[in-house]
Amino acid sequence: MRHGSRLRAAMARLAELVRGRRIRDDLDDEFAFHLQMEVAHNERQGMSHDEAVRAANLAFGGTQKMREATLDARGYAGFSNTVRDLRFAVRRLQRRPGFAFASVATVALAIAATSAVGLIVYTVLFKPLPYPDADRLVVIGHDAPGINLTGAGQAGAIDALYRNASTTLETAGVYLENGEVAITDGDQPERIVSALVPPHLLHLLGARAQLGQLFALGDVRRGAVIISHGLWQRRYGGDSAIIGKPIELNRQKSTIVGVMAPSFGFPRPDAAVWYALGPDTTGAPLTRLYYSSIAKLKPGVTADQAQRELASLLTRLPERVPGFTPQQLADSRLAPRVRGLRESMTAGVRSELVVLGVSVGVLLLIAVVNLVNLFLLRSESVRREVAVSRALGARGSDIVRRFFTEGFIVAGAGGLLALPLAAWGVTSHFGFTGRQVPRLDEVAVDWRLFAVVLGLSLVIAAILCASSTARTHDRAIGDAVRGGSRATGGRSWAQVQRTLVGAQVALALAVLASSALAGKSMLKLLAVDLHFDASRTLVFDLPLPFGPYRRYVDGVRFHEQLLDSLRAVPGVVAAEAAGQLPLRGEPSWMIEQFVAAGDPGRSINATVGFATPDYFTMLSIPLLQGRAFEPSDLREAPGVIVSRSVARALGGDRAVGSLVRYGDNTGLPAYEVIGVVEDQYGASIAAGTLNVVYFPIAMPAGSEVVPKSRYIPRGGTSILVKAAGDPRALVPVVRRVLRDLDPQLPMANVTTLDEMVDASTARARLVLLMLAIAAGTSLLLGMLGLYGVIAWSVATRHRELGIRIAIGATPEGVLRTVLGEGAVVTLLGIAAGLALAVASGRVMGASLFQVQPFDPGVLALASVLTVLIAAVATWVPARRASAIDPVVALRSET
Amino acid sequence: MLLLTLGRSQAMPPASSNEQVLQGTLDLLILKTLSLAPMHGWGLTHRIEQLSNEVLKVGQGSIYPALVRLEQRGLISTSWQNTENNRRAKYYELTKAGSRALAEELGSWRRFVGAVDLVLGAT
Repeated sequence: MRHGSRLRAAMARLAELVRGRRIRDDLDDEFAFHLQMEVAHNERQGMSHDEAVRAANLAFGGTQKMREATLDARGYAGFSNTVRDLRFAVRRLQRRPGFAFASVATVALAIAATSAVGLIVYTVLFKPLPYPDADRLVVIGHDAPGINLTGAGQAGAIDALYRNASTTLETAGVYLENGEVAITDGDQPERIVSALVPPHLLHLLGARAQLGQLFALGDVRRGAVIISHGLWQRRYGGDSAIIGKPIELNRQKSTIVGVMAPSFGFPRPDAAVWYALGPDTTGAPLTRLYYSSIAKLKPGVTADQAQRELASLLTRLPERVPGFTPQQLADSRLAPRVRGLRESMTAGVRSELVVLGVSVGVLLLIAVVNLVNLFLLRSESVRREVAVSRALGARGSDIVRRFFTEGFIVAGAGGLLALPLAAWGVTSHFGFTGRQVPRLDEVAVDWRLFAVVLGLSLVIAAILCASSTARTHDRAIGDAVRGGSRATGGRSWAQVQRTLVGAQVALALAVLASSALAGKSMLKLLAVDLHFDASRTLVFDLPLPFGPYRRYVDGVRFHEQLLDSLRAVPGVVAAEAAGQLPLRGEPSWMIEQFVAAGDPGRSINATVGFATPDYFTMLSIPLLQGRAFEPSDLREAPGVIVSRSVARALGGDRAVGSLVRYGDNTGLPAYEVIGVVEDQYGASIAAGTLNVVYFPIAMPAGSEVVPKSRYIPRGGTSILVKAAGDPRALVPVVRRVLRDLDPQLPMANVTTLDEMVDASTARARLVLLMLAIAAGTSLLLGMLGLYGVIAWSVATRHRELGIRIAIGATPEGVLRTVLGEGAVVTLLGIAAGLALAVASGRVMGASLFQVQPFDPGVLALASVLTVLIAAVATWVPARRASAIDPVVALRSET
Repeated sequence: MLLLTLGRSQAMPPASSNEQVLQGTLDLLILKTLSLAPMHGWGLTHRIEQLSNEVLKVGQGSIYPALVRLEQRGLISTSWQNTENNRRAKYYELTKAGSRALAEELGSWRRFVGAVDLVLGAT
């Protein structure tokens, strides 16, 4: 019956909350009626009107008091109470601006950082991809360790095999990212990102046409393209008659057959034009593994199951591909690799983002612990005020309400401030770019951010309210008013606070150690010798369109003219052309297998590179053996320069003079190795150096020799210009030189080698920066917490310590005691922190460069630093403790 | 704050057990009086005054918090009606739960009185 009535009472109160004003009016009416009746009754007894009124009021009791009592019985005194509470709380906070500012700022920063980073981490790592059945989409790649091939893609013939024979794949397809093409019609040349995608893959990914149609299945006629929604709006103004109109890309005419629906960004968010890719099952499969492949698993099938099935299917490959023998298959140890699409997209950043997310979460924890401590300390300091209030008759609920509103206001204000901060963090992506972090374009300020900020604010509000009221429920009023010695309750509270601070120390140490690991990794990264000189060199890409430079000699002649003109510019020290740039990833289709002509057993997979004769000298790439390119090297079977790793694999010590040829022996000649240069790093230093075989870009005067090679540098070279001064200052001049030679050619991807070097370490540097900030803040907050707790402990034991000194303890003894307290907390915190640090190091493992997660040096350094700072934090209150004047202390009340 | 006070079932914790007993007695008297006929607040105070002055020690108005509590426990219901003189007043009426509670309370009151009598009679 009790519970039921309680519930009913609560429900009644809830209902009355809504009807507050009516209730008050009703009550006033009821009282007025009562008094009227009483006055009438009194008058009937013979009193005069005035006497009757006076007697009625006396009999009733104080109207105001009764009113309040009745409203209180309803459990609700109206909205005005809340407003009053809020106003008082605000005024109380205003009186302690330091506390108010510190707590609100802490809440705001902690919430903002956590929600922004959390949203980014969620979107990149966990949010489902925007394709239908995205969780069944996988990426298929291959490894062939027998021929030194790892991380390769898919070949047309193998894809056909899988599609025909697989029982675990619902459908599969290959596509190519085609890089940038130039729109060469109209007066505004523009470069856009293109891709070659087979029709059925577009359907697989849920692409829709806004206008016109997508490629029909089986329809791969040349010349049909689909443009993106963005391009359609931007360049063609949303022209509704665009279908069927021509578009010229890289000087080749095509027809627009469709406009893609907005926000379809495959394979890249900025993809602007799609060509239809026809099936291509020709060629030796092992040399054609440069396609990318996407497949959809049948429902209920895992990636592992599919991988095993595809591996067994490969045994049938020799039947389908003439010239590919089972022996070749066995020797190459070709094997498929099937991984979830989202996984493989985010694999590169997964560990870094997790580390970032965790450290921000740690920061939040530390901030909250600090806030709790702050509020606990505050409730402690107003304990006497509370006790006196209680003694004077204030109700427990009133007092609790007081502190509740403070916690609520701090959390609310912090949450409100956090919203714009978090939104800014999300939109700025914290300085990460789409290149560094995939799916960044999907990160946006949406309801999730609001929900997280709101949720965190509520949680923090609850924690703060709970902690601020925890001490005010004490019934021992007399004790508190006297400010007497600590009861057992006091001791256990101190224990709680010490545990909290210990936890803070542990977390701070873990974050500090992690950032030290990242720092060491960064140092190692920066210390790597890149084997080339990046200073003062401007670089840009020069794509030569197919039309006017169809003939090899025209392309090379153009390069020679351009380089000669550039060399004539004042301020230019050197100008060279190359098919590749250091620190840039190479498209996988330029990787070929090379074998030593005399000893086919020695082989290696290497990138096919190109360079003008003085390229290596210009970049100061060490020439280890042999010589640089000379005009005589430009023959049908040109001389080549190889990188060190290639030389070692194919020719041992005597690489120069030996002959190398393409591994699949398709009638191309053998090439003489004329020189060996140092290895260069590819897209990431961590991934190691590349194997490269360099072919010459050169024209012997008067001849029109076309070298016989799988690739010739007809289009798509990079031009390097070394300046005497600032390379960027040369950009306008270079642009003019280029325009004078061919007005249709734009300079693409203009940058400097210095910037490229910076970019390669940019991501590591950014992560290090964020970790360092997190570590610094955590350490600061942790030490503030430690200081606060020790100082409070000393302050409340003022009397006790005074007594100790009075009966003979030395100041040094007291100092040692207090320091000892701090030391215990710190040491326990450090012990826990070390364990955390090792664990977090393991999580970071993938993104660390040449650094072990369990690095004793780093851990020791972090621990020592923490101990030092903790010592400083405890020193000040300890000093104060040892300087207590026993006479003053004995007279004081605490 | 608002949320906090919802949980409280007593506005003022009685400072002494004497007051508690008096409060309980007042509730009982209200229930008993209403069991005879529905009335408004003023009518109730006069009827109770006739029975015991002590109970309304603090003042006539103190009947109203008691009425609120009883209403929230579901033992009485309220309605606005017109009096004989055609004035608008709030009438209180016993509910079914109220009559059950009254019977219970009467029972325990009688037992209490009986026990006290026994003790007093023992001397």
